[in-house]
Amino acid sequence: MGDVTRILKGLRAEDDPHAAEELASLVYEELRRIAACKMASEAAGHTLQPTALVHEAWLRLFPAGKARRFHSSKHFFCAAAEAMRRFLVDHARRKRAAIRGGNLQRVDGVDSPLFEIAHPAPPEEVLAVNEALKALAIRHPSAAELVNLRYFVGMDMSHAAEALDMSKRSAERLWVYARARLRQEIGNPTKN
Amino acid sequence: MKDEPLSPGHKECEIFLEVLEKTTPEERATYLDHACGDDRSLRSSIETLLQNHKDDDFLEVPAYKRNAAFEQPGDYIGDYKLVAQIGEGGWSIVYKAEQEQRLHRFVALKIVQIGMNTPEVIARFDVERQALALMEHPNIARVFDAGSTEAGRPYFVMELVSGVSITRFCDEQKCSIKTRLELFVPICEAIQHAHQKGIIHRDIKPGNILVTFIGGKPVPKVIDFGVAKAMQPLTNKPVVTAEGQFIGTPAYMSPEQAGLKGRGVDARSDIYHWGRCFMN
Repeated sequence: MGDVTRILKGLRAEDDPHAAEELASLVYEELRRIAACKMASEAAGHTLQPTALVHEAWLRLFPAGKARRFHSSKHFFCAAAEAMRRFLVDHARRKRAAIRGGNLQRVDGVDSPLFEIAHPAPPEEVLAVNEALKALAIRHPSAAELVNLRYFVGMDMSHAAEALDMSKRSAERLWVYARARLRQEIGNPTKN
Repeated sequence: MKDEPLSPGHKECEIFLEVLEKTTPEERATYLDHACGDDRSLRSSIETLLQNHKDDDFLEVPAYKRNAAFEQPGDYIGDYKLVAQIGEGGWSIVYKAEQEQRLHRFVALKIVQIGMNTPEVIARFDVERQALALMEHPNIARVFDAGSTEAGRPYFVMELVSGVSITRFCDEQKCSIKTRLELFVPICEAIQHAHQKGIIHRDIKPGNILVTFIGGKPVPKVIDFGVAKAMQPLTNKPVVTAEGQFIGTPAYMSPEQAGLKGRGVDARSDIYHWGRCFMN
């Protein structure tokens, strides 16, 4: 746990360029550990909810007390949402490859899945949203973070607002903007 | 909270949300004049955002929580009773369905999974409905109907073709060059037939050419005529054209499509697509 405090200090002081990356991998490992643990103890066919998984990782990595200072919630939840986004996008890529190729193909750089997803959105949708999000992240980073939390983690508006350290009203407004921007981006992608 | 003051989208976001609060077009225009001043690109960004502001379920359901409301065999879509799922693409699910009204027959029913711009998809299909009805060719699967489900997703009703894609068929059957050509020629004729009726497919690819057996002989059939075009902004990577949005499968796209010049897309595009398929 000492790690978390150190990484967050680095993030806050902005003197450690690797802090964000470190936090992301720490959070990812924690998510993976909890998921594996849950899958082992639950009956077959049980599906994990990313929202619950992320919440549990938060409680474990940030026990109430000193680690929760430094706006740690925002850093943590953004890292967790990022991990969840990567996982769901990899899942969509594998699924699309399976549809196109007729059978399962290896997609390079894909780890074993965090957990089974029972009801995924169509892979093309996930991949299109993911592409559009890259442009949104440059244009308006907080809007992209909000979409990650809502769409990939499945948080409701109040929780997402809390995680991003903003009012629910601000989150709702930002959501309206993010949706319009992403719909536009999916229809007419910005050229790179 | 301290928001990123330097993010380029911050200003357009603020103005866009402010415009939404204005109720009349006049108020909106006045506000936009005031807020954007001479910044034309900002103004056009905001206007595009306003066009893309819709009250539907886009992004509202998380990426891992789908299917719950989706159709099951036994459900009715319009006059059609779903029998079984027979295929799944990136954007759509295809069911074998039973038509009970008017004619009793089995059809293929393709339901687009995402509820974006359904009226636009249906409108594009309606434009071609008349021409599609005139198309009659043994190597073209008929498209009978289009509509939208209760949840607002578009669907298309087509002739049921039980077969596999042409490339898979050729590989599995280890077809000789002669057989391949025998399958190739009728497809050329089918595409020509459609072109004479003024219909361009726009997404000819192996997955859209199925080989079925009729009287013991393999018969290739082009599916999705009129459907691919209606669904364009949904399928695969979007490409902008001068006349609006359109999309195809990049590997089989003809140069004038890939070259972003929408105007140049005509019958020749399909011929190019088909040429590309044949090379496989």
